[in-house]
Amino acid sequence: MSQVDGTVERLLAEVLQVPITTVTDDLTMKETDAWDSLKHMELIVSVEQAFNLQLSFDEIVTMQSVREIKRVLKTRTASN
Amino acid sequence: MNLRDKKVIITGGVRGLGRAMVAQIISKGAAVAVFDLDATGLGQLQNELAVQCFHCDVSDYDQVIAATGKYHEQSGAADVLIDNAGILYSAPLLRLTSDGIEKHAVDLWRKVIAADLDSVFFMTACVAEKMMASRTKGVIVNVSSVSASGNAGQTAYSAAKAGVNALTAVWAKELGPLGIRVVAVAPGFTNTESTKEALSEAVLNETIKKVPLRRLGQPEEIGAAVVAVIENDFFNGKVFEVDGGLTI
Repeated sequence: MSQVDGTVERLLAEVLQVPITTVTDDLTMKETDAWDSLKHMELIVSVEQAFNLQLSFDEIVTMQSVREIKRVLKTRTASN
Repeated sequence: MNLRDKKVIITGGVRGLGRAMVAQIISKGAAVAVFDLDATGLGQLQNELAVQCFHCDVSDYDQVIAATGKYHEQSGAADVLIDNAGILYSAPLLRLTSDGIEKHAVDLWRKVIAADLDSVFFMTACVAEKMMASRTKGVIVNVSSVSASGNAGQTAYSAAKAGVNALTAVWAKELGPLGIRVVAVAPGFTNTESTKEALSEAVLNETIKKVPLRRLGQPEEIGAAVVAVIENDFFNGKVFEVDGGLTI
């Protein structure tokens, strides 16, 4: 398991205040009531702090599912 | 925030309070852009001070989109937006005339709400969007008024400024996690042309009697308050009242 896996689930569970077991790769912003645009920005700030990087606007817009968040982060951390 | 080399947008900066803010912000070493409806005044301002000028009616969303787009192309995201533009208009809900009771004119209600509230929403939406996209930890300063608490005889103006206070509180919560602060400065009655145009001499004199300091504020005192809230990084979501102790 990479550092991205596990950390993303933990951050999402903390920000959305949901059990970590409910945070799967299939979880999407669109289908999750607690994951609104304000929570999304809170999540972005948490992710940036945890991985010590700054996400672009396009990346922020793209990261609307756990799978996409992990994809973006794996790309970014691999290129660092 | 230290204002040196920061990029600051001031709406309604050609005259009155805005003009004083422009001079004070420039004196702190910031690069100032003025958005104003007064094309002639912008020309004069540009001859006097090193400012970028944008001719824009900030109560018109299309114009705001175009002008802020042009600004962002030239300068990138602003560090500070000062939502100062507005109009001071005094009228009660009902007025007793020789012909009977006259209701507040609807067109004037809409004009005041557009100039004093819509403008704040339009400018902040466009400027904060760019701050967010570029991850700029900026500051939005909304210019409110002592009338926000409900000044008899200023139905529309009081409502608009109360709205500005509410937006300040809401946006501070929404944008705070991104490091963007949203604050307001609420001047009391200030020695400007617009105050003298909006209030008769008799009303103004009565108002001054109610101010514990027995005088009008000076534009430079309001400008200093704006600088103070920008510079204090822990001031957020609140209204800084600069009114000589006046309670309405």
